[in-house]
Amino acid sequence: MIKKNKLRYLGTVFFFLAPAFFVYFLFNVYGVAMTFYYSTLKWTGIGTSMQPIGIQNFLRLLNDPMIWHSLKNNLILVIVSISVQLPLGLTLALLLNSKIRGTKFLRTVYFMPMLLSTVATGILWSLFYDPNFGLLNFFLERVGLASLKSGWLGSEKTAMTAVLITICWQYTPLYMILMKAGLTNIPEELYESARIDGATGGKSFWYITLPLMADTIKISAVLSLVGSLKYFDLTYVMTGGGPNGATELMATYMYKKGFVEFNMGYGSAIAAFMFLVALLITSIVQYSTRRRSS
Amino acid sequence: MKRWLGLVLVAASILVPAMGGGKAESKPVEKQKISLWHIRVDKAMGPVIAECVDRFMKDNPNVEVENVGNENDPYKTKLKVAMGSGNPPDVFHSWGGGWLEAFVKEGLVGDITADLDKDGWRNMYFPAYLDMIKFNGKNYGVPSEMSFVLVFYNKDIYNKLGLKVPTTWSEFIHNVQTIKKAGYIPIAEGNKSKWPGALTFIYLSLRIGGYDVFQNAYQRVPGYTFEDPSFIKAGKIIQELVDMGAYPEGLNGINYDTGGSRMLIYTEKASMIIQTAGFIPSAKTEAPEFYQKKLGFFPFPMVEGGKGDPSDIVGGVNAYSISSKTKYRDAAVKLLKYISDKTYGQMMADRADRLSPVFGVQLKTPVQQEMFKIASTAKHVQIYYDQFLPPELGELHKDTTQALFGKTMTPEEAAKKMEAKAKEIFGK
Repeated sequence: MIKKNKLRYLGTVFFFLAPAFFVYFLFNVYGVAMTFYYSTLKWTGIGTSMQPIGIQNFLRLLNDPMIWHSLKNNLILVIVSISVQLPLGLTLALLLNSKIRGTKFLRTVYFMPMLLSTVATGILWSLFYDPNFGLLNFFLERVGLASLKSGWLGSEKTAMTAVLITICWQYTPLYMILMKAGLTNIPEELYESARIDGATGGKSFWYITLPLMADTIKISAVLSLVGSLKYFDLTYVMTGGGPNGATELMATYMYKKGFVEFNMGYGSAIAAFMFLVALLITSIVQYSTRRRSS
Repeated sequence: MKRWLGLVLVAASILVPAMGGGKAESKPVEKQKISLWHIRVDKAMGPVIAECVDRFMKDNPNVEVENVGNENDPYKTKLKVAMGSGNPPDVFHSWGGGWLEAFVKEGLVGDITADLDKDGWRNMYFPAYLDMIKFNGKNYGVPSEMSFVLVFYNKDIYNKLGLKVPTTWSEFIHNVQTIKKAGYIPIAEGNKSKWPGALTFIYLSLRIGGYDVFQNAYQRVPGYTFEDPSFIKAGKIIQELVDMGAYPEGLNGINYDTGGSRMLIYTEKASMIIQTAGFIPSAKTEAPEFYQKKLGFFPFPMVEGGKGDPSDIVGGVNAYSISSKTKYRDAAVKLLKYISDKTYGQMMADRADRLSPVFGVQLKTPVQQEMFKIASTAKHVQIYYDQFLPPELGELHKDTTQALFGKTMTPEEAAKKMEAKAKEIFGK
């Protein structure tokens, strides 16, 4: 009887999971599998003529300095995202959680960047950075720092930094909201008893807030990590990966090879490479943080 | 059991109507639906296309045309995806050249040679422009606009500084220096999308090396390469201009397509721009006062000691082709006529100052006549490299040129990269 019940239970589970699994399979698993298949082809992406060429695309990939350069840019993005967006998000969340006046207003203001579409954000910031009509250079000139004026997005030296700032601006609110949700889950009694025991603001942050936020922070870090590794949109809108590849990310490079240069086979190889890199790094992070918490 | 039955019933009630929906009977009288994709979204040209499409639908009441305008750069991706996914537009825009040829090679573009031979349709167009959309002796499209590059300038600034229209490169450099001293940006260059800067590079190598050097390098004629001294010299001149301060700060981040460099001209911060004739209709609608009173142009100056014919122009064609997979081939072919014929050409000239490669269009203004003179006396038309070359090589050409403007690559390195890629692609 017990066995029969269990079977029935499993059947129900499967039944409810099936639709989601179907969608997941169709749009994720199938897509990933096809990417790996396409990466073994010489294919323009527009016609039906496909030649299987084995691992040649991957050999070419390993010798392509541009992919390593893009990977480096992606890793910079990962580091900057985690080290800037998360702490900043947490700070803002703490600020919103405190009992200062006008938190509701501030919450709306801080969340605003998340509400704009990426293209709008990209164009807005491009205008901000515009060397001739932009606010930034105008401001620098007015405060007497005209020597610092630059072409920002047009110069290989500053383009990456300029884009990174925009990405942080766009994504910090997301982590702010996640952190805020995490903070709300910490029972107020803990702080109260800590206060009775004499814990000051700093101490209660280190010994209560931070440990209890560990899970939220971990989730945020993984989200940020994966997001950064496959990031595409703002660089595409603001610089198109340029100038001269200065802001090229793996995803923009894949787009360029696959869709602009009619080389879908190679583009798929880049996509497969991205998948492997993201999988590897995420697994390492997951594994190492799991060990620590147990 | 009951629970199971319930679930199955719920599932069935969701799935069954969804499956049946697709089989609904269509109406007996079938209207032929064809789609037209183009990139004429500016305020002067957009309505011209729309009106020609309306004219077509009036003459062919059984056909309905879906008229889709696109931005220039995203269009390339959009068409490629549509073609690749087997859902192409029936009639579409292209620039001829290597880009279109990539689609032709995959058998995705309709061969219209026989249609052009019928009723002398072919004779409507300037042969040189019709040939730009011809591959292996077959026609794959009709030319609807001539496009070529000129140097546009602000007449006011020229007058104020007492400058003359330059015919030689040293006169041009003299003007650049005078303009710079007077506190203006000499040349408004918005090179984010890479092709605007490439125009200057192509002109310089055309003037220095002559028409044949590029053609021979492309056809891998022995003795000719993309490392020809003329390409290197062109790169050097560009970097000299950069050093001179001829361009705005951060030019590689300024986007021509979204108006960045045009703004510099309209606001009179900059005095010249090297651009395609498409700049004229943009100026006409975006800055009408500037267009009427201050806009002048001259052909790209000759370079002293260069082998190129000073009458040669860098240009290209805007063409329309049909998909080989179109369901209504007759209607699509007919539509080609409506968006490239004399009526279209006349409307385009009258309203946007754009020239059509069709015989018999009347040019009413001095601007149009002057442009036509430059276009019709040119010995050669050098097609934009990025549209002429196979896509991978064309992209590299744009990338290296952008790096030349950014001074992060030497002209020698750029030429070397081009030659190496050409060897890889052509196999010799």
